[in-house]
Amino acid sequence: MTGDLEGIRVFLASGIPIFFENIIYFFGTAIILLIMNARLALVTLIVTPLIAFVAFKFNRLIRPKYSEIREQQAALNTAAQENIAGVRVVKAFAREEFEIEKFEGENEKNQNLHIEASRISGSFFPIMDFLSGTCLVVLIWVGGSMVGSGEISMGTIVAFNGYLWMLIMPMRMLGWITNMAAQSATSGKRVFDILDTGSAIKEKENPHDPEEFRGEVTFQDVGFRYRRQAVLSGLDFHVPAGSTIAIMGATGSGKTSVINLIERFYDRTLGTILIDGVDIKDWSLRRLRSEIAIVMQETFLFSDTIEGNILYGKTDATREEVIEAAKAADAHKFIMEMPMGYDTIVGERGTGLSGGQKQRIAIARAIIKDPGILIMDDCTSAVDMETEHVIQQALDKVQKNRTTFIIAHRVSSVRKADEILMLENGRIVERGNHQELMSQGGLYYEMVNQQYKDLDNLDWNEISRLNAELEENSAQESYFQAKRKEKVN
Amino acid sequence: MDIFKRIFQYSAKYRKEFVFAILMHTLLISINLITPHISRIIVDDVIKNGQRDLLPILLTVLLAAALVKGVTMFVRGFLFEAYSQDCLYDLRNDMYTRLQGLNFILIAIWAAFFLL
Repeated sequence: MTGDLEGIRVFLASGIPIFFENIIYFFGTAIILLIMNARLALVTLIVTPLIAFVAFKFNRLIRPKYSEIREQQAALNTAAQENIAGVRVVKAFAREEFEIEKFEGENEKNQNLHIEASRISGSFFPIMDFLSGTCLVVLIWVGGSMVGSGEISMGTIVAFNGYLWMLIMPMRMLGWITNMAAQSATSGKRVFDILDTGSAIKEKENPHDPEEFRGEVTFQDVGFRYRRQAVLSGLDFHVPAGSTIAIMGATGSGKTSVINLIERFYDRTLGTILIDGVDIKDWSLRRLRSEIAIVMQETFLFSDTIEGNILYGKTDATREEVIEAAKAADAHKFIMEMPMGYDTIVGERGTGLSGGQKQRIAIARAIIKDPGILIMDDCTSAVDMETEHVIQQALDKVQKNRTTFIIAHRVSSVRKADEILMLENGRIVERGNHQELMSQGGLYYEMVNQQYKDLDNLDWNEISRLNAELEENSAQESYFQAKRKEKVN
Repeated sequence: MDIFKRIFQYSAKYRKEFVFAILMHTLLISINLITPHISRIIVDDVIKNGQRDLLPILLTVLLAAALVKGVTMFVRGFLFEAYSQDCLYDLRNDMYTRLQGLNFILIAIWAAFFLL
């Protein structure tokens, strides 16, 4: 973006004045020369069509070459960028030599194109200088004899010489100007393409913006297609306000798409989505998104203080509210252990935090927003089991009296949900709470089995029986935690 | 041509700056166009015809032209730069605002495009 905007700026700041001055110089000088002495002017100008032809020819040759150079530089950038982004893979497969050879190949093409462009430019300027010199020779030859015959004065030849360069310069600049204009047009096209891109998500006039937000979510036969491919189909579920719903399924089953539809990052293709009984398309986008907080797997913290990052959820919150949110997210303790406390700079240019610490700051950021709907998108999958336990405890506290969507791979994250939806290829294939799904012995049961099979030779029938008996399942939680720790140690 | 038309439409807000810059530029070009003519007078009238009394006047004119040229160059450069920067400021803000309104996939496509 910066390069394209700079291209436009150069056109406005330099291209326009240079174009303007060359036009004035060319025609202005030609008129002055004709007024001073029409015969000498015409004789001197006899070479100028040839100069214009050479400049035109040069432009025809050099423009495609510059275009090839730009494409090759893109290929070179891609090679370098892929290598940097995939450095772990490169090193893991010991493919450094291959990558170096690949880069050298692209680099050589780039070098050859530049040499080719230099060869064209290099042959153009001597020809132009020769033709310009010819003009001077004609001027002195014809002008000198005219001075001798008293037809013109010595001063006229001096003035003619001065004006001659003003006439030749615009023609010499022709190639440069057209190339710059072409580059500016390309930059302008890219910039205006973005400005013209319409948002697919439109807000209706006088959108729904009630005083109260309950957080009741209903999907009625919802389908979603992306690039002609069905992502979700026939989704039917109801989430009463304040309840917790978990969505599980393999990668690509459509879990995150459900969340994207609730946030209205995309619009459903079929069916109806209701929030508090009102079609999601009728809601004010700003209001809807202000009532939803999301904690993602990949936590992003801005280069700002911890307080600044938490305040991102509610910019007008007080320090007390920030501390309260941090306490609820179980982050206050480790924040206070930092030398600058809440004023510690984090993010790209700040202190490095562990995955669990970043996640808890993100939870605090979501809590301070006091959202009607809380979405946790696989937010504990990238942390170790001990951290997961700490985060889970923090989440349990904030989920209370709030509609919560949990997307997770780990059974331990969803076990307490009021309803668990199992997705497969964008469809709900199983639904129910933990106990119900365990007793069904289907996909969820298999997933539980798979996740815990390495821990011990557990008697799963016995565990299912325990599940039914223990309301809070705390025994099972402790059992799994202990077994996991044993396994880790 | 449509692209240039749009660029100019975008900069229409700063028309005054642009027109003044073009006037300054025209003045600068005019001074440059006058200079060889003064050289002609010096050669023909002062050197050849011996009208020495003209020399101080012509030299003053040349000096004044050089001075005006310097000032004009500065003002013109400043005005064109200010004009381009003002347009760029608006374009950059509009682009950023537009990017905020785009959905994820379009932003990802554009980001990849610009990286290349």
